[in-house]
Amino acid sequence: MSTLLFLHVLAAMVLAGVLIAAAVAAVAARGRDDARGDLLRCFARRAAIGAIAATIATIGLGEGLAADEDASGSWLDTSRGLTVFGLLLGSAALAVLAGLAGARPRFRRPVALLAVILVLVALATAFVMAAKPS
Amino acid sequence: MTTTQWLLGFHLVGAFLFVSGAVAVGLLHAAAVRRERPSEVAFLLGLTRVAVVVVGVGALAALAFGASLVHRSGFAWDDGWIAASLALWIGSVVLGGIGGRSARHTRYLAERFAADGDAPSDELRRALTSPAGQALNYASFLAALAILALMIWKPGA
Repeated sequence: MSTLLFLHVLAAMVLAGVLIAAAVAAVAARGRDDARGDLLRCFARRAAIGAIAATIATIGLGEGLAADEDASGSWLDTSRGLTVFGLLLGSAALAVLAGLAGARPRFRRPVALLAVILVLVALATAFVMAAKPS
Repeated sequence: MTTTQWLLGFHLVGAFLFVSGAVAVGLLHAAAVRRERPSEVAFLLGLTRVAVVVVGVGALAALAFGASLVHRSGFAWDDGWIAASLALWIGSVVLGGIGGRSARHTRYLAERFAADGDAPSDELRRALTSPAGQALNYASFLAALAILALMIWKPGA
């Protein structure tokens, strides 16, 4: 049980780290129309793809842990919702939008905003998982 | 929600910022290592400063909320896993700080080369991949992971 929990938390921390890196790059790229802006958007896109993989690993380990402990509760449903509909779909949207933002400047600000929101969703999910408010 | 639940939630958010910020620093540094032009290296290393601030805020928050949890939950500072966690926290912060100084000097070097023709440099490449700097940063990260392991297994509790 503890090994699964360790790996679950570690995968979630890697996920949050990848999202922080994507957010730093996306925010720095939002007003740039030069080669460095392209470099940062490419970095943010790759980080978002990495975040999808880390989210899948986190979900898989978390579901294994929930089954192992027979866990249930509204905190678990809330964190499932935040992870799947927030982090997984959000990271996929970030990857697509960061790819499009190179040619379409109007996407640059939404990409930065989405990346920052995803970091906040990851931290909110961690809070819910730790505090178990129900 | 009880006070302990709030403290535990914020303690974990602090721990996430601490470890995840270090992951972000590592990713941005890795991106800098792959660039040839000193101006691009300096630019990417400059972005790591934001993630370093996240690491610092997380380290302090994890310690502060963790200390409150020790006070409220009936644990003692001389419990083996708590004392070891505190020692590893200090080790992680000190090693990360020394490794960060090395990265800062590399950024200054990259800025100097960028202003001086922006041609690829072997000296900059060596500074970016310095084994001593990498060892310090990896050791800092491993200490943070060891704290996570102690928090989960709580040996002796």
